[in-house]
Amino acid sequence: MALLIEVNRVSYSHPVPGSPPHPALRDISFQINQGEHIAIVGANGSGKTTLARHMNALFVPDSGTIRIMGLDTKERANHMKIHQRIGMVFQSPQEQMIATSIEEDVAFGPENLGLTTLEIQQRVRHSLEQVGMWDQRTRSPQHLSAGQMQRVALAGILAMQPACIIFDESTAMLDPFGREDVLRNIETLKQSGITVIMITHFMEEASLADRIIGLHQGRLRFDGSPEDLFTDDKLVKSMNLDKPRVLWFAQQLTPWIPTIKSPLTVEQFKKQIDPRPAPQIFAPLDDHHFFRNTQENLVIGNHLSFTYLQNTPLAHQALEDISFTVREGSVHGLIGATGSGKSTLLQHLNGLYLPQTGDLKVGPFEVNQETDLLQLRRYTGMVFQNPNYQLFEQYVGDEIAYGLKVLGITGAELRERVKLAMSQVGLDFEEFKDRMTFALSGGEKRKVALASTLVLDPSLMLLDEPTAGLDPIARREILGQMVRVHNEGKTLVVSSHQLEDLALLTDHVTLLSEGKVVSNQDTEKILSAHELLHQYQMIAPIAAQMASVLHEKGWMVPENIIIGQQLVAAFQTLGELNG
Amino acid sequence: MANFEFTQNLSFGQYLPTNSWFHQRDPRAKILVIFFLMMAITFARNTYMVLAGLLIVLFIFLISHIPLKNALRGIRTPLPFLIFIAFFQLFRFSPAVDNPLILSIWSFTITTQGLFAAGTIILRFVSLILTISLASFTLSTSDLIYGLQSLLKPLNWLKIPSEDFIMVVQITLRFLPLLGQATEQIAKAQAARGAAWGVKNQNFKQRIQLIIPVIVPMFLTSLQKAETMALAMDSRGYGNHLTRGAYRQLTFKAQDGFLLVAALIISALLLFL
Repeated sequence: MALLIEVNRVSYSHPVPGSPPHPALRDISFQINQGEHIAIVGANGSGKTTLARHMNALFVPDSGTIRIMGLDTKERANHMKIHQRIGMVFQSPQEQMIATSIEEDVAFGPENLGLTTLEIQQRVRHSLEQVGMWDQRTRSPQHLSAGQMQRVALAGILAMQPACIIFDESTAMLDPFGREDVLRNIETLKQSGITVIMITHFMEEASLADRIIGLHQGRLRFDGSPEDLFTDDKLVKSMNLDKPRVLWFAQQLTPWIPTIKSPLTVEQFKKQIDPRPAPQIFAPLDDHHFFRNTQENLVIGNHLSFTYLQNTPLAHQALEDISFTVREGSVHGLIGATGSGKSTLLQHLNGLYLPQTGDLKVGPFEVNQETDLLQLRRYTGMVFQNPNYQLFEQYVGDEIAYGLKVLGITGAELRERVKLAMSQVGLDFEEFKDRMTFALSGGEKRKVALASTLVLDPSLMLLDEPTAGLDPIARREILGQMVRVHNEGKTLVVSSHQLEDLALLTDHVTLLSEGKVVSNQDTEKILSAHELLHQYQMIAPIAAQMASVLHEKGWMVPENIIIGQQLVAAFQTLGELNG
Repeated sequence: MANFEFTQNLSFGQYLPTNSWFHQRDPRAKILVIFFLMMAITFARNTYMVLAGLLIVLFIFLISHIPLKNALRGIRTPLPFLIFIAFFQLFRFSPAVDNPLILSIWSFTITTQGLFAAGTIILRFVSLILTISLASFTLSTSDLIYGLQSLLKPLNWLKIPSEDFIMVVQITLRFLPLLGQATEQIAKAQAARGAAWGVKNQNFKQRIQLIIPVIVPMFLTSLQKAETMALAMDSRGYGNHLTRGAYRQLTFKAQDGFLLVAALIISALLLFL
């Protein structure tokens, strides 16, 4: 196989104005051959993105060399050839769109190559057809979903006919179907011989690669097969990573099913289990949720509808005749594909949008034109999806104090309440209060955003995609904080694409599709309803998928299993019977 | 401001593809027609000619099949401002033999000429605003970019990098909705934590006080976005090649020439009559 990328003892530091440079890569060496499929993993801030940007000459190493097909990235004259051969799909779909229509955006790269009009048109057509977006070519990027934008971004790269494509956390902002879509495209690319390098926080995605490169604090800690990495518990832990959940759960089932040999994906898991000659019957699941909540409804929505840009040519109905309730003291989940109206609905609950028809009751408030919005918003705190938009002060302390200052609270009380809120989310007051908000890591930003809402002591908390884009460890921490907040007696409404998270947190889930309520059930019922979820472009949690595989093979585990512990617990009820 | 839809108030991207004869013309011809008309309306000395200009613009609205309702929406916002300016025109002239007095309050005098001047200024601005909205209704962003690119090419002989200029225009057009979204998000985040966004019965000062804290984070996030976009452009090979290719090739037909000549003659008449 031909050598494609050669990284030789590369070090790089980010210049920081006014202080010593921040080392991001330290003495990294590896080689990538043509046609390989590689995943780069590592915790937030381990240098993954910096490394990727070195591989298509956006960054040039401080020391060491990188050669792409033998071309040194230090030579400016080589950059054009390198950019053409190594394409990159970025994390945020919005900002990589350059032109104002899809076709022209895809044409941007070929135009830069100085090709003839005919050649450019052919390439644009071919690559848009490849990602299934040709019929939408004249639309403007801002009207696309995040998943569609990533497809267009990929088409823009394909039009340059590259040898290698780097996906820099390209799936982080997508819903499960958008993610599957990207993964399917990656599969096609591999078959056509294109080298794929993907950076990801999803260990399930990383296990699909032939080879994993693991970074930790800017150093190369691992270079080998996914099996070798994930079966080494110590190494995984020391790199602040997580095992793929399938492996995690499957390893605990080996006492009962000895044929299981560290599967990384549900498919491998399926292959490793032999069908049982006679079905093994299990006792039904104990009701795992202890409903602490009263039967009082805290939120009651009746026939809510909402249209964006009403009375304009761009009018777009986001909610249609929504009726739902949230019980006091519960954790309520909202699921649905991108654009199904989850965020719009959440933003009604604290009066950012007012219902255009129907009526909405939140705690003591009737939400309508007459509501005292300031009081309502103190009662309902909201944590938004993208922490970058949410943090607007320079220092962490000021950020968290913002809401209190608006209320006119100052001095010792302000300080005490900020301190309390920071301790609630596990941020040390002295260490963090004078840190710059924009320099925080993704996980830290979420914590600050959470604290800045908690500080106002709301009775109802709204969380929009609280774990999107976080590494496994940060994700687990944020989930832990949410459980604590709930245990302190607050009601939570959480919207998420991560059904795994909702399985752990919520007791009730509402499924939305195209602005309508499709289903409203107990969490374990809805998250184990594979067909319903599939129909509305969602994917059941891993444990539920594994349970259904076990079912096929004659292990009749309870059908409403949605979290790994339930799966293991179910097998434990078998005790020694089988052993 | 009970909602957060800032993008609603941006008049860009209003392109209405009615596929009329005017829409189908070469972008370069359309850009020039609009440019000529704007020049003529701006510099016409005769009030009747400004009125004629307005009628011509309305005629193009008609043949482009654009509902006049859409066009008039654009005038509503600046109208108070126009009336304010016109108001001062009323008192501009002192009465004379050929300029009879209509009304006098203390030392202020309203004369026929003043009335005429006030009318002209409203007429002129309304026509200009309609011409600009005509441009946004009939020129898609792609028309605008490829049209300008072709029209400004001669500047390269003077060593002025017209392509870079076009790229700036393109990025700006792409960035405006992003900016609107960012503003919306930040305002919402502040509202959710107690800022009085969307609360009724506020005076002007209170509203201004709301806007200021949004501006700084808006610039910060915009800079971050711009940086990412620059990287994305770089990684797709922008700026490395001497000659860029073009996805669209424009063809100038006889009909386009006819339109252009007609516009040129009409504009000249408006200007010099």
